[in-house]
Amino acid sequence: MNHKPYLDWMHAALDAGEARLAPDQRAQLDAHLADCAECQSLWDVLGEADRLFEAAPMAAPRPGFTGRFKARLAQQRSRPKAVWGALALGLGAVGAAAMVLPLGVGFLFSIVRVAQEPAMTDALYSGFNATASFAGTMLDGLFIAARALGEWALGNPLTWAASLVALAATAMWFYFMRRLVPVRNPGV
Amino acid sequence: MSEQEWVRRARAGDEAAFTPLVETYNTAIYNLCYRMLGEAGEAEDAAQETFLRAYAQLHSYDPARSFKTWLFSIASHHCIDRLRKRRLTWLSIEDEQLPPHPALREQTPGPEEQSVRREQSEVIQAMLAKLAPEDRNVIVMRYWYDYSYEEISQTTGATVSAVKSRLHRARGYVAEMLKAAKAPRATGRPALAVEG
Repeated sequence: MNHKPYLDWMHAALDAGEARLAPDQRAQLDAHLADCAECQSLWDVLGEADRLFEAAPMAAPRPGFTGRFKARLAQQRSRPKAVWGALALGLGAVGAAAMVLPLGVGFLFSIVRVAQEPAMTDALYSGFNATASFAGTMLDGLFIAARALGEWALGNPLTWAASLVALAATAMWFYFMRRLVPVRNPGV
Repeated sequence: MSEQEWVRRARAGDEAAFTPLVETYNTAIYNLCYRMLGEAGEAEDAAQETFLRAYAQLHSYDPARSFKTWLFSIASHHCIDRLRKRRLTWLSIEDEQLPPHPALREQTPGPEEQSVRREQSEVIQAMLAKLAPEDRNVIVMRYWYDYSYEEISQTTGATVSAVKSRLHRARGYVAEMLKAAKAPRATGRPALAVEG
């Protein structure tokens, strides 16, 4: 037999303010309780539990609760939060430095040791010389190209003017395109 | 001055305006904490913490909502958090039964009524301690404050059907405990978590 509907009705009857049983439901429940000892026993203890809780008094705090609250609130407010925050920050900085400094100093010392080797010094000097002469060669090449272009432009003024106009038009196109078309950030 | 006015002033930064609210609700909040936590000292601490949190979070309080419900919500969640941090030990109702005493068998008042009431209170706390925190919370709201399902739902954040389910389950557990307290032996009882 399915006792669940009767169990639901028992709870509904105890929650009198929430769901009063319809007269026919009450009649069916009463009839079932008369026939089912188990449900009758359950109904009895449910009622007992209900009465026990209904009769329970309200527990009250010791006198002076509000005074204790005000003292606790004042104590909480006077706590020097800024000092604690600065201390925490300082300790964090000291901790980070303690981790990073030994590694950094050790690395620097190793670099100095290597740089003091005679063979390393010669290699560094040669490398610097090679880089400087390469840069000088590049600059010479650019100067030669610019002089050649200038001589050619003086010999062909129309071509030179057309090139300048094309260059100016391209620059202005870039300028206006940037103003008219908004930059889209795919991340937003 | 009305409660809404005190709340409005407190929200505006008037610390003194919060005091009448503490005086109004300290017993109700303390009782909730005591019924949930089962110990007077811890209940005092939890109740104080509830009001401190309420004061700190006044800016988030919605005036359209009942201040009492909002306060109870803070207290309920705080007590449930405290209970969850406690160590749990599992006990079967068979292993530890409530001691039978006259309060459970005799309903007629006697000369030692105060003693009986004290024993009843101990029995109630013992039964509450065996319930899960959420079920305990619903029982306390229902029987000590006559909260409706809707009000309990607003306080706890659970749905109305969940509240109803918890209340019925908690009632059923309490009924089982009362049965076990009366009978010398009970077999096949479900295990319940109690705080150790």
